[in-house]
Amino acid sequence: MIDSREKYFLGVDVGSISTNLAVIDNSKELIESVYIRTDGKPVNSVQKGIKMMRDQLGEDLVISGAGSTGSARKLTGVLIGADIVKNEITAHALASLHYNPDVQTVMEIGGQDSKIIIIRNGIVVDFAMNTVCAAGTGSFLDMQANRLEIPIEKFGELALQSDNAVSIAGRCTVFAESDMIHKQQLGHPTKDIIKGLCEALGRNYLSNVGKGKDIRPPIMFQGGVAANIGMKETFEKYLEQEIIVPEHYDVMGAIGSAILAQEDAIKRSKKSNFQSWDISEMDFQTSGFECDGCSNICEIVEIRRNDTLIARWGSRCRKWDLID
Amino acid sequence: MKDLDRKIRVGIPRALLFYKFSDLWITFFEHLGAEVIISPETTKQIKNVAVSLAPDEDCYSTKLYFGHAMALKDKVDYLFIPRFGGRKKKYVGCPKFIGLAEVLRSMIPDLPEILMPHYNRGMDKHTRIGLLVRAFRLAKIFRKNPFVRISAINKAFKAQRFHNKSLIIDEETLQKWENSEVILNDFPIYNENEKQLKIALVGHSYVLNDPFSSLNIRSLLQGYGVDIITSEQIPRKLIEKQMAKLDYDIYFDFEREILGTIMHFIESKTVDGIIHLLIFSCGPDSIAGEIAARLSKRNPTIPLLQLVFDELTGEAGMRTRIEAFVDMLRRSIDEKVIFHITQVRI
Repeated sequence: MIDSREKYFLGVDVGSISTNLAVIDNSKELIESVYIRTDGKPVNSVQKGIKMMRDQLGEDLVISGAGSTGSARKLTGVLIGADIVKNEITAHALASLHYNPDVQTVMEIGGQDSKIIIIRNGIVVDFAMNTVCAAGTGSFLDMQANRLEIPIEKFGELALQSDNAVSIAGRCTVFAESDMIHKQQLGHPTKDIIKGLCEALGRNYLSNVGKGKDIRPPIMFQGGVAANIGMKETFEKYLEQEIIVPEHYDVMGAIGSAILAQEDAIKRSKKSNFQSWDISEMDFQTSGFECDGCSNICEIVEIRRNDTLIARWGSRCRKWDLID
Repeated sequence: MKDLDRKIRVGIPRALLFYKFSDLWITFFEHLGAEVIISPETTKQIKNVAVSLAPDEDCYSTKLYFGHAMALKDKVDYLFIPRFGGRKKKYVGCPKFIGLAEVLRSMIPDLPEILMPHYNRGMDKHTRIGLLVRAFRLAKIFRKNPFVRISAINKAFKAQRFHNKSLIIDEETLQKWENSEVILNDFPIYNENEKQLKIALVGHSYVLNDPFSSLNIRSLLQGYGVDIITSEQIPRKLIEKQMAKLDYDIYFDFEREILGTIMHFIESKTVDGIIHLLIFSCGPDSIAGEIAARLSKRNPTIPLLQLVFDELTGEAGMRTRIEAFVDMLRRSIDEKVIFHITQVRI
């Protein structure tokens, strides 16, 4: 499978809930992927993910370009030595276009972010992200699965068993939860409540993130929540369209980031910045302090690798920037 | 007149209409022999004071005004908080601005004396002559000599006219900008092999020009190699021309400038994209925002990004949106296009 003449590219997507890694070859085919939980410790999860990837591919595999994306993209970029640090929208759009060049709508629901990307003729023409509200994202489903003591993997299946969804308020997760508790206390079966919840979240997504967007088929649904077939069915019901969940729905961000790294490698004359597979053995320390230089009181973050300062950011002015 | 050995100190909060009329006000007071003290640029500290003090229902920019007024509180003899309703008979500015001085006085009793001349062209008695009379009377606090007072008023209006003239471009300059012959704002920082992007940055003066409340969007765009034009710079004639195309008359003066700019670029297609900055919970903004979104949807050639700012806005999410928008515009451009970089600044 691994060809020494082939070029390989690594993409790392670190979000609020999960950390995903993907290695692709020059023809953008996925070679290997890793999906683990971030558990609130992005540095550790990147190290763990890199180690898992190394164990699967062998440390002789040369990475010709690395990219990072996700809400922790800047930090991740410094840790792995990314050649390109890009936002999730661009990464997801590229990955979707690779698997389906005709795609016109990409719906992505992750741990705390949900987004919609509108594509026409292979070009992103519009997008939206959830703003201040995380209702309907993975972390809420996770929490409710926990509360109902159902493994999150079973959530979707259970929803499919119900043919009588109860109505649940999907505007706000706090109200959704009180609504669910109320419905439980009335005696509704769990499967009906779960189905009701999926429908509420689907409606919420379409009326918030998807508001005013021209949703046309083919529609791709990806991100961690796409694992939930209850949600897929909900979208099919409301949109009256077939919803495609790509095979690697959970690591699409990482694949997109790897594609960006591949694109970048074509333009770049220098060697890749990618650290090495030994990242997991290195010692990374992050520390922070408040700058008292002015009344902005910026929170400065410093990243050290084996006691060497490698990055510093957080200031409004350029005072604390590292100069190469 | 206060009996002091030193100059009388007049404090002007660096917020809201200061960004439109600073030249008028500063020239007026300085010519009358006053020392004008302007609050510093918005900082986190000013914001924190503002948010804890201001009424909940005020918009973010009005809240910030409270912070700026507090920053001047112990440093000045007078605070200048004009009650400005609007400069046109038919249109209004923001009703909040008319009440601001009174609200501040009632909420913070130990403020210095507030100078709050009222001008609202929409009211029958508020003629242009009336404005001059009010300025003349206000000037008496500083100088008794009527000739000095008249001269201060003249100088102030002259300074404001000069400000407007250098800010608002003419149609010919706009055309030059559209043809990439001139740069109107900061020079974008270009990366190799990247096409120069043109974006219209649209919003209230007090959002466009306050890096804190707009999360530094101007320098962010500059860093992405984007050449911008702002709604403040657009020729008034073009704005009125666009406004005449609506079936209804937009009643909010500042919103006319914003909406007119968006409509102009949707029609002329001379920019790659439009970024519309809105302030939560500005009433007029929410109306203009909705109209702009609908117009853009009907005519989707020029992408429109709408960003809503308030004190809870997360910087990370905003940056992601702006970066994704710029990426989207860059990727949609034909690769064969010749890289052209504008060299001239006016």
